[in-house]
Amino acid sequence: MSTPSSSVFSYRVLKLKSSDGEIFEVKQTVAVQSGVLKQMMEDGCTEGEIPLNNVDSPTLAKIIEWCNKHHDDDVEGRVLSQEKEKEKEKADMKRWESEFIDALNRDELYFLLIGSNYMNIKELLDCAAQKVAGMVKGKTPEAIREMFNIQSDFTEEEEKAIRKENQWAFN
Amino acid sequence: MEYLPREIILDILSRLPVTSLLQSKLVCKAWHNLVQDPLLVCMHFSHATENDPCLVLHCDYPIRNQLYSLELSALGKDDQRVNKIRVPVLPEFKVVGSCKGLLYLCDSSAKDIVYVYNPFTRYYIELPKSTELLHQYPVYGFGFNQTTNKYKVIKAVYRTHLRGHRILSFEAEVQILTLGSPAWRNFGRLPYRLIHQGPSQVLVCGRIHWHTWSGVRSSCPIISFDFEDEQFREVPKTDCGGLDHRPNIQLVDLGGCLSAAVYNNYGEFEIWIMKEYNVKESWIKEFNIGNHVPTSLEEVDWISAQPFKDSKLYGKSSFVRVLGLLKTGDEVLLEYRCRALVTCNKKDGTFKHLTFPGLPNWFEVVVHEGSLNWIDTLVNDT
Repeated sequence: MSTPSSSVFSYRVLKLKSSDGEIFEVKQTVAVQSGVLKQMMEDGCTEGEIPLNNVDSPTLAKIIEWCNKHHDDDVEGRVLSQEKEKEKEKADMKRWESEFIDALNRDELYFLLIGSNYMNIKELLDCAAQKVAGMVKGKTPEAIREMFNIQSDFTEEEEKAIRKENQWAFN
Repeated sequence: MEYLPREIILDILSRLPVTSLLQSKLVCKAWHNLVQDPLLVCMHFSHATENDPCLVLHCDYPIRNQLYSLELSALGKDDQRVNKIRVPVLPEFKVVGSCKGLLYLCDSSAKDIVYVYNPFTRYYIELPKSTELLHQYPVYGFGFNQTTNKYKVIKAVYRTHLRGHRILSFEAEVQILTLGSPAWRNFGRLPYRLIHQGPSQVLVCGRIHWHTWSGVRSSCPIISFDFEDEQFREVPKTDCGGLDHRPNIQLVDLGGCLSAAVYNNYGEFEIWIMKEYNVKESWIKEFNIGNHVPTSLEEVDWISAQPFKDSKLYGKSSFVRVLGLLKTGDEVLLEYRCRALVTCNKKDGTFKHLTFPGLPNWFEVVVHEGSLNWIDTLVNDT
């Protein structure tokens, strides 16, 4: 396989197929943020449609929105002479990220976690996991169960024993 | 959220403060096991710098030797509170330092008894004794070797003259203990007088740092000890801001950078940061604290606080201590005179007095990485 020159490389487009059959076109330079797609590009197996069986179309749209934003605002490609300017870009990006994540409902967040984990997009996974951690923080075991739709499988005695062992945390 | 893969749940749990982790243990059996997974302990440490610090408060008055925990990363939630920690067997102790989830406690009645203790699991072990400590003054450092995953203690012992404690030699005998091994090793002599800084250890880049005192103002370098290669090194100081000649410099770790707090020529409190480790030119002045005093501290009721004067904290109650950075990166956390927690914002120079339900009146803060690690596996395994 011949390696394409970098200028050609940047204009190439990948066709991603969501689990519900929708096709999304993504520039290769954007798609490299996904560890999985990056590996496929390096292996030269991105011809045709790439099926993403774990990601439905609304989630994939969100993921691509994230990747496009992080590509467009990629500071590496540009010369930012001022330290302040760099800091402002960083702060703006942080704000965009938190608005992006905060706008998701619980289900969307769940699918985004699964999708970003599947596609191996570390920054997005970090951001989503941090958001969920913020939702778990300070919650009682009962509230966490409700949030994750988990049934307790402890016996009453077991639960009592664990509570006793860490009593100070349950004041 | 019910069918999240294990690695994602671990990722989420690794971002939680310890109090929340303990709550998570009760969710179900699967989560209970995840919380005790050794992998989680490692992941938890890797996220520690992204969160606000966890504080352990050591109190001596009105209750002697009481520890409390305060997790600032739980801030913004209504359940933010100060928790009492059950203290191990020592009747009188001081907190020498904290490293990766463990506190290093030392019997303060001058016997050579030292413990490492995880205040959140309440597991502790007593360390092997070294030599007799009569007429000796030890400076301890407690650290971690990333390569071997072992905790280490270094002890520099200075001999005092028989009468009075003031006259100390400027040369130390150094001993090292790797946790899990049965005895201390002799390291040799160190021609520096290390200044013990209370419970704030300065661990940056795998090294612990001390300011030194040589008796001559112009030659008091910062000394580091590397827990991996076991070498002492001098760390360059800037020539500016009085850092080069003032003896009362307070070293601190700010966001992973070696930093120094010092009073300038006008008596104003400043914090300098070495942005790039070991690069003399990278020291810059980052915070100007000035002479700020929290308004609540201006009116001290010294009559009702009279018994506090017997406390061992009293001697430290005139100081401002720099504790660390909050995760915003713009705010530094300060302890005022053993009585108040205050943040200072470098952008607009504003101060914020932090108050919490259950905060004791007098305390000394130890910045601590909260962890649920099982001390026996960390000390004995690998």
